[in-house]
Amino acid sequence: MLERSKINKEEKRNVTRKPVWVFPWGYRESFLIATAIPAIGFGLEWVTPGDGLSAPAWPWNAVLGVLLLLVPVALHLFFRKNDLVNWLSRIPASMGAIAAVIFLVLLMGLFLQGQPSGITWVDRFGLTRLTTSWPFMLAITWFLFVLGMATIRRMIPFRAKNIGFLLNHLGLWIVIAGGILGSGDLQRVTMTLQEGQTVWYGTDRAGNTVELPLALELQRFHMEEYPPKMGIVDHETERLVIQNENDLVEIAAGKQGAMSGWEYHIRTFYKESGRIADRYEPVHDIGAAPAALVDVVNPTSGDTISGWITCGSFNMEHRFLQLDDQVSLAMTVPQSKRYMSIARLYTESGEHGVIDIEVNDPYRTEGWDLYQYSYDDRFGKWSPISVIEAVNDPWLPFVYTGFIMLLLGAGYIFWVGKEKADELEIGPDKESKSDSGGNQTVTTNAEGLDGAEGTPSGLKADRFTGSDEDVSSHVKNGLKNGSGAKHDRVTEKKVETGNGKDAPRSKEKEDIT
Amino acid sequence: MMTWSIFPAIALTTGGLWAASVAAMYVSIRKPRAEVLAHLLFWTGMLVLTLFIMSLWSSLERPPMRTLGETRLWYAFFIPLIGYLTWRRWELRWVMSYSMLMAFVFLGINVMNPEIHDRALMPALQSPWFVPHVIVYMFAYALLGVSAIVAVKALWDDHRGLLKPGTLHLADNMVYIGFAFLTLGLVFGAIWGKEAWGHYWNWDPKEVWALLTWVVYLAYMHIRAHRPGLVKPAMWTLALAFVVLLICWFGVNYLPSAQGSVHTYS
Ligand code: HEM
Repeated sequence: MLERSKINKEEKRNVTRKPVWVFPWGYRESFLIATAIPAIGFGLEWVTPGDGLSAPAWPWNAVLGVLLLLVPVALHLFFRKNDLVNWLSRIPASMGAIAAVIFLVLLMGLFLQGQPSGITWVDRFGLTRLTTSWPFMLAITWFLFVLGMATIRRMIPFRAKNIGFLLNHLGLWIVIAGGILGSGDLQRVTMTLQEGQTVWYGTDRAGNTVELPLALELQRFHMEEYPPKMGIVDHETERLVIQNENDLVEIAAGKQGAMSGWEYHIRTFYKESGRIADRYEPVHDIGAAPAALVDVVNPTSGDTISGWITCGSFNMEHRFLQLDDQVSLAMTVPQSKRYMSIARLYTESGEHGVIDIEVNDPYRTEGWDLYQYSYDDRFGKWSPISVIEAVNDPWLPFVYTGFIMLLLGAGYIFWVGKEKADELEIGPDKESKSDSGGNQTVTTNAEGLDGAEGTPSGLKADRFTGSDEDVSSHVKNGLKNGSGAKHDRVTEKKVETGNGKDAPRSKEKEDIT
Repeated sequence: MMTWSIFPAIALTTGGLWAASVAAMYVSIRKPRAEVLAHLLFWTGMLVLTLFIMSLWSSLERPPMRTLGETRLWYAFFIPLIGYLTWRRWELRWVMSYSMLMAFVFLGINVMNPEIHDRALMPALQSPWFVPHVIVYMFAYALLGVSAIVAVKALWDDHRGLLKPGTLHLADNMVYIGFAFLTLGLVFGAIWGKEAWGHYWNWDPKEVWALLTWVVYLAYMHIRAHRPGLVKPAMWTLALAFVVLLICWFGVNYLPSAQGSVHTYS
């Protein structure tokens, strides 16, 4: 141990950096690629201005998916020993891909997406529609490829101890591949329903009419509302004066209290009312609005002001109660509690009876999910129309499979944590077993893929330093074996002996910084 | 509603049992036998609250998940459960105490402010996924917040050459647990999004930042897994990750990208 640290210190003194692009690759190559990919993508955006890429639809997305699956499998099965293939499945390559994704998602989080900004360069680089941009597509493809490589290497041959790793990595792969590829087949259309009309088509976001395998006939649009509230409005600012939560009062008959010093007593409250002369009476007509009769005591003069307030509706005027020169009492428009469409459903096989489609409670039929989407808010609960969104996402089962795996994977890392994951990975005996399991022909000499990792286990500081960038293992091998046709070309980057202040998981700590 | 009228008594009983359980948990550091008491008190509290929720459910004839008051009831139910599991599994007593404190707050609000029981919850929020989604995020944020403190401590110790492996391990385990909850939050949110808005992922600014947060922690985990020796970059990543998390939590509404976000009600 002592001996070796001395040698390593020696090494450290006359280190020259390994030239870039000379195998074994490491972080530098990874980050160069990770920079090049978005750069090329933005270059492509610049030279081919447009409205963005459209995701490939069936069957091309499936072809792409199969390629993304088969290429890593084939590379793993046939070229495992290749330096490049090995590098692709290691953390340095992953970190570059992750960094590229972080960079693009960060841009997405900074630029308002979905509508052109009006700033020429922003729009030309596609920064306002990143999800359909070249840089994003390329980066995600790279990400999936690298993630696939990492996953496959731990998947073939299958070992029970890798279950947590697989749940997380394969689960994420499935979610992203399913989501991105599936977006080419995702259909989202809105159906605008009117009472008594049967509608069997929808309109997609580009404004095209899409015929559907189902039809809806709106029976009724139904909305329940929370009681309206009342508050004091400043004449000058025309805004509610709200200093604390007591200043906005949910209206109920008989309620008493004070708002900013004004004492009130709600004498009468009608949920639905119509105006008759100067009064309001309960009615049930279309456009009937809530109204309340309120007594308010002026805090300075002590006078009681009494009168009606209403928030009005599309065919009833709103009404304030003036309290003094500066303020009035006003009623707010009630908020919706729940709303739904009650509609008759038809499919190609016939009529299916009347169904409810409520917010948060979609109806599923014929591979389509029907959502309550919107209504004409000018009319509120009297809306004559109801808009339903119909969604067809054939790839959903994939994505949900991935979700379940990620949930289980999360359970795994919660329960097992870091400690155990290490134990599973770095015990020297397990290490050698895993290597021989992966590749029977590997000797302890560093050759090719697993070989690079196959540092004699006793010498190995840390399994994860085993990426090829980790030249220390080569150097160590070279030292031990006194050989190294292969290692000769590896000049050292920077080897540092551990000082024991970290890497608690290894007894012998030799890490490269 | 009959059932809410007995709630103050329920809250007091449950809260008292849990407070005693936390006390017993700390006593058990010195006197291991007290641990049994901590378990017993904890589970009795859970039982009382469970019975209350069940009776509320049957009297309402619908799952009690519509109003904010009902939502808080579930917070008060699940948060202690997660805190308890974290204590059992990771010996993290502060997480248990923290979760109990949060539970008391939620029970307390429901007792003090009964008026709010039926206050407006907009239709899209009235989902069985709402509560789990928010709870797991609260947990993740708490753990990851503490991991950021640990990261700063690690950097400081490292600077002075006094870094202990234990500090790094603490940071790692907190991130592992916190990250697990972040993942749950993300997936629950996606499933809820599918139910409420038609698709599991809409690239809404809040979603974008939640994803970003998640990926930065992912980067941290992989730096650590690969190079335990790279202390500084890893700990800086961890500290930075918390900044991203804070932007996600509070800052998103102020970003230019967030105009028209479905999450801005929060
Ligand atoms: C759900 C998300 C993820 C989780 C929870 C996760 C977790 C982990 C953990 C705990 C390890 C080290 C312990 C072990 O080997 O089992 C690891 C290793 C690794 N991860 Fe991930 N990871 C995730 C996503 C990713 C992604 C997106 C990539 C690549 C783009 C990736 C690439 C790798 C690689 C290459 C390794 C090393 C594998 C090996 O040494 O055999 N991971 N991951």
